[in-house]
Amino acid sequence: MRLLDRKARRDLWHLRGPVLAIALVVACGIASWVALRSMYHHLRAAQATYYRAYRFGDAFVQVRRAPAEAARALAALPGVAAVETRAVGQVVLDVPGLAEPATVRLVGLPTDRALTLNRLAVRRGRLLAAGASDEALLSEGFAEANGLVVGDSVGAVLGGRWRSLRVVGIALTPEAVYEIRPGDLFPDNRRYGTLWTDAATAEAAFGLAGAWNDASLALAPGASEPAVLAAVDRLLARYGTAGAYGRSRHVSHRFLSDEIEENRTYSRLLPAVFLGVAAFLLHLVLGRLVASQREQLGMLKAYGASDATLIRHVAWLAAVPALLGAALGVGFGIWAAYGFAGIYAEFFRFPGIAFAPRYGVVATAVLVTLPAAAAGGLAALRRVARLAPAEAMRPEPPTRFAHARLERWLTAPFGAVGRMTVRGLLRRPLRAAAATLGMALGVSLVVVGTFTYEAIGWMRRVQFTLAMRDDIAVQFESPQGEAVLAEMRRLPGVLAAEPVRAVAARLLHDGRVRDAAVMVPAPEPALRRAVDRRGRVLPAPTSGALVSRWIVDALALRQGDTLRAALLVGRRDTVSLRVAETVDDLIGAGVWVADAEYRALLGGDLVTGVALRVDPAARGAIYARLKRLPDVQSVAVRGATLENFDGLVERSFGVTLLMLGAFAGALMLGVVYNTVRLALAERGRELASLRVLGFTHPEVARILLGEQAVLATAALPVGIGLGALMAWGLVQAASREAFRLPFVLGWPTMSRAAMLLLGTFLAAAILAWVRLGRLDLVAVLKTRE
Amino acid sequence: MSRRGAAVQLGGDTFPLEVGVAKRTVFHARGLTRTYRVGDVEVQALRGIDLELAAGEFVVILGPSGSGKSTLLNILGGLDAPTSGTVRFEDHDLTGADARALTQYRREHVGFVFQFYNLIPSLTALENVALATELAHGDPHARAAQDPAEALRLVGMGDRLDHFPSQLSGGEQQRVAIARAVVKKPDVLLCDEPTGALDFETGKLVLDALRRANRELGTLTVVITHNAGISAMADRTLRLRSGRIVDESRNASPVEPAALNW
Ligand SMILES: Nc1ncnc2c1ncn2[C@@H]1O[C@H](COP(=O)(O)OP(=O)(O)O)[C@@H](O)[C@H]1O
Ligand SMILES: [Mg+2]
Repeated sequence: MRLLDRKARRDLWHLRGPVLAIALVVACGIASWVALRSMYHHLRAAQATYYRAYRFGDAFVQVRRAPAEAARALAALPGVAAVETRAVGQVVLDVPGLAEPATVRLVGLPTDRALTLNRLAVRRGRLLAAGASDEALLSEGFAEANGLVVGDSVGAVLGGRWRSLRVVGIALTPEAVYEIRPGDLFPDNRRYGTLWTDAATAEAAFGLAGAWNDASLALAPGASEPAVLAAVDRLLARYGTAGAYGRSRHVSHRFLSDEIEENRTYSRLLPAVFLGVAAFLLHLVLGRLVASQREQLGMLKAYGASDATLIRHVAWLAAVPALLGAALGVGFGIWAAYGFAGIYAEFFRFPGIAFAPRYGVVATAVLVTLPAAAAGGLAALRRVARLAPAEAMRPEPPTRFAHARLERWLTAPFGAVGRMTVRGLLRRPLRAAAATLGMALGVSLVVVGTFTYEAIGWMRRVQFTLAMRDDIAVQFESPQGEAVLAEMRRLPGVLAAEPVRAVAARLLHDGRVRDAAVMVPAPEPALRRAVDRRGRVLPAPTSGALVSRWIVDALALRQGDTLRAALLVGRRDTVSLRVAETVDDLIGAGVWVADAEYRALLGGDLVTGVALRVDPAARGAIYARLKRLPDVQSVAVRGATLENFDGLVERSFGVTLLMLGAFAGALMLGVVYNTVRLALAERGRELASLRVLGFTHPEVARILLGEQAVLATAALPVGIGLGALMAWGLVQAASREAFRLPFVLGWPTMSRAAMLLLGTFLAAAILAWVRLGRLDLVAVLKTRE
Repeated sequence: MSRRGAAVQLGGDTFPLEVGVAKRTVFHARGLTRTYRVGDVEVQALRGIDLELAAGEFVVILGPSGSGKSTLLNILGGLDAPTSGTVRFEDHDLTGADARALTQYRREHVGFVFQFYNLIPSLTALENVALATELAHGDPHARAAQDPAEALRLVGMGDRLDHFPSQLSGGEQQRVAIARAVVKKPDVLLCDEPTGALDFETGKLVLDALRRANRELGTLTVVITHNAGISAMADRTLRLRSGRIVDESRNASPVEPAALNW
């Protein structure tokens, strides 16, 4: 059947526009499959390998202070396979080349033995030498961001004394794959990292000589995590424990796992959308092909071509765009995966686990396109098989139209041209609906993408212009008396100082547990305020507690309920709080109480930090002072945090947004272009007849595009609705303790979606315009088709 | 209703219908040639046509397939341009006109009937006809159009107004197409093999519709066919061969379509 192949090739060439458009839609689906699926596998494998090789703990617990015997008792608990204890805390670090103080998590390391859990991957230099109390290791992200190398020195006040530490190694730990300062929205590698010193230095820094305050546990195979956690809590109760927790509440693990899961979700969702639309487009194009070639196909059958031969002939036409798209998609997907891997490397740090494309993913990509192609080609192939030669030799009868009640009602207000449009749509309601849905899906992708951007912008506004209005926030190692405020105000350049009173607490209700801060809002005009998701500043409660919705939901609380709070500082008593009101806030999770209530609960006025407004000219001097103040646990500079925030959003979301926009554009263009082309093919003769009758070029263009315009117009609200639905899903999925995405669908989102749709529609309209200008008026007088 | 020396009243307009030799000439064609170039090969579809067509005439153009009939008709209808020569319609020079002017010319003066009817499938018979009058809306040059239902009655389709093309037979579709062509009262009705796709009896019904439109509206009607039998109903018959008019005959007593035989 060499000649038939030649015919197929020529048909393909003739259909190159639609074939390419469909291939592009397929390519988007396959690219998202390859890229996201590869990232999913890569991250999951990297995580598993890393955790296993470096023995990441299964359970974690912090205490106020526990002796060495407690560690031995932990190891003896049934179900516990290994224990690693140490002194851990936050300190402020002076880094050469960084004006503001950095904050690091200081972790003590044994120098006489290897770690049993949470082993370090040394990337440069070496581990600490035994007894070398002036040596330190830095986490890789922090060192790189600050340009620190082995041999550099950093300084810190440790145990009330200024210490200079020499960096002897750069390392990674499975505990901080995602290294983020507690309470921050994004990692800031320049200003937050991990610092390892020898155990004695760390113990001295936190007043723990010979004792520990942090333990990691490995569970024995088959051990029950809840049982072990409960046993650990019982054992450590007398040492002031904040409660043991498993990996699921480990910050770094949680972020990484959420990201992996997200890749998995999208790797299913996006390809399904794109391949579904591609199948629909294939259905349209092949359906048209078979309809317009029924005489040819009938003739071939009459001449003895078998059904199988003809089906193969048409199936080939379905396979080409699918395979072409798959090839393009695999190429683009691998390229994009490398890009993603680059972005991920900035957020998630693994030792020497480089991204490599996976052939399994590529193979499945090709496999998933085939069902899509089959679904798209099915109807056309069935028509080929059913075609009776004799019937096929007669020209296609005029498309059937008949009156229906709905149709009469809908067409009544229109003239002849309007009626053509309405009946055209009603005649193939499924096709019209599918085309609308296809365009709407494109719109929804733009909506979701832009929504994320808008939501983050909203969060930025709420967090950095409404909630935090200080220039510098200082957090103390341990709660201070009111006197510290006066001390701070005396620092040269400090314009205003406001106490931050926020203690960590473990909240309990109805058998559920959540950790959060119990805080006192400062009196207005405050530098730090409680703000809800709509940007409203919340006044301090007069009695009872203002509770974040996140906690209210997690603990199944209702207004008027009483929850118990185990305070992790101060007296560490359990106190009762009445839920006076719920706050629908975006960032963090907290409980706000009145000043008096706070004093009563804690048995004193405990100032845990200060928020400062400073004279910009005096910043340098203030930074220098803060670096040398004892008892300062962490310093956050609002300007620097914002800069980091904006940079990260730009780099990570910018790329995603661009890609989503391009994909959405391809989707819309694929649908609009193919439906317009189909309309041209189906109605070319009709329109040419109208031209002969005296219709002008713009008039017939209006007839052709009228239907498309109706579909596109319908697609916009449907797409925005779908997008809103997806955004809502995203809000639910991305709802976590650190932050909740606000559901904001504003003008930028809507207009961007509308612009992209309008753009693709105009592109198709131009194509239609040009083609209509080339209609062969003479040809319609002669033949059909 | 008699055609000779009468004035026919239709839709409020009065059309003086003159008879005999003194009829106004509307088309003047001089030295028309049309050459198609397909690759290296030149096909001379028309090789020098001189032609005059008068208002109200019923003209049949006969000729074997490929003789240039359609090419000639297309040039008269403003769908194609001659390679050389001139065509004038009244005071319009069709030879030098651009696409826009030709569209305007078709809109104002020409009605077409196609071999395959070319009705709009999504419009009913009445709406297909009304479509042509819609064109006239807002057009300052357009004359008052006929009532679409009236036009359909003229071609004997008065009882099928609300049917879609798919609900009509070929002959019926063609009669709707004729109603569509005449509803805006064109000066000239151009029909390219209007019965080519129809059987004998149905073809005669269609020809009857054409004849009635010609008589009652006084429209110059040009019918292309390769069927010599049809020339019996014509006022004048032109024969084409290889792009030339080889014979021209006038018919003093045209027969009614019902009496045709072929
Ligand atoms: N578009 C075209 N391209 C090339 N040749 C054409 C074209 N249209 C018509 N011809 C040629 O011109 C000649 C006259 O065609 P036509 O006017 O259609 O003849 P008729 O209508 O009498 O059958 C034929 O030889 C035909 O092949
Ligand atoms: Mg012809």
